[in-house]
Amino acid sequence: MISERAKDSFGRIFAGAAASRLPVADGHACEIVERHGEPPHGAQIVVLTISSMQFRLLLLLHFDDDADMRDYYASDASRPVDDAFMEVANLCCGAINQQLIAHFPDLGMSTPYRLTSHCVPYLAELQPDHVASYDVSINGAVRVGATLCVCAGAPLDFVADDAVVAVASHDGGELELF
Amino acid sequence: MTTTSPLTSRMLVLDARRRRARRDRHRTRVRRACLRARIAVPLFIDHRHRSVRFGLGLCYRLSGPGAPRDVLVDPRFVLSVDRLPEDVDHRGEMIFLKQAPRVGAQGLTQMAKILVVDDSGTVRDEVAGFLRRNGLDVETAVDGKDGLAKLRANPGVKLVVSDVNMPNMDGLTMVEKIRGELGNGAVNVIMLTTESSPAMKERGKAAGVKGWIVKPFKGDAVLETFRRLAG
Repeated sequence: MISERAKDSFGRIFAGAAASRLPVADGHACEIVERHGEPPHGAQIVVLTISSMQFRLLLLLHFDDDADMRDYYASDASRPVDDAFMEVANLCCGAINQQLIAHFPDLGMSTPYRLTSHCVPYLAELQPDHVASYDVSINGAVRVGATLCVCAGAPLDFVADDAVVAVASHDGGELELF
Repeated sequence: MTTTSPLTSRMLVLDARRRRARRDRHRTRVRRACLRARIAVPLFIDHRHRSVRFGLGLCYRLSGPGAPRDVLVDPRFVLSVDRLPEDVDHRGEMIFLKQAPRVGAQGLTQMAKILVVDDSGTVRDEVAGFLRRNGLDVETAVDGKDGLAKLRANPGVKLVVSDVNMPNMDGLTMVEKIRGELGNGAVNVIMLTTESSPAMKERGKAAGVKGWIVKPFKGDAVLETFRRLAG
């Protein structure tokens, strides 16, 4: 039900969003590798949903509350790392949403919510049409897993433009006055 | 050259004393009445309007020499005479606050000119922290419902910076209620959100939103505009 080029587009859109939003500062190295087989490790997951008339996309970001994560995302120690990472996940999913809206104008995005990794096997219950997993490494130290899960309610075919993905991933922050 | 007879001078002095005594009696009566009713202390007597002002249910800016600027009395925590903090000084007809305490036990708050509404504590800290470091007065709220309540309690807010997707009440519904329920057409509202859909922006525009920022928040890019809108 989901064309190969649509699956590829989801992957490229995710990679652009993750590379621009998961690092906390410009210039931090972000390596994204597609993973085959088992879902990524991580005791906790942050889940966000993007829904349209044709499909529902779940973005799961897997992480462990370890010293590397705390140092990177909650260095000022004023907030727990999961709170800080939920907002990072929100930004990442928001960047995906901004890309998809060019192809699907009726999108709606959820707020982030936190679950444990015990919930991951239940993704299969959704009978998804496309699941892809990724390992994300930031500065060679911080490790985050990602799972994209797409359930289609209608045939899905679109192509994300690489140039647009690259530019749009770094957009944001400007005030548009009405 | 006009001269004043000793008798006339004496009469003028007595008249001034009588007026001062009458004023003091009036002030004491007002304060006692307030204490009895347990409502509020007259915060100051307004020379210009010759009226006594109370803290009950309304916010007033303290004024006069020595008074801190931008201090509001929070109507939820009206001061009563027996709860006046030590750093309140009675001078003449005015009560001055030597320092403006934060919201808390004394029930006083700095006047918040900007209200930041976001369900993410990280975003609230980031945005409010940045604005405070740049000298702006900021209050925060955790969702649309809380934002509406804070705005109702503090009509001095000039600018609301709000997320869209929030639990309990989303940001656009909050704006619609600000304009409708509160009848507040003056406060400027900027949405700070990951949402960028034209339909969402149109709804915001129709509700009276002044501007739209797609996250992430880049403070330096918007600071001057925020200052202008909050001024």
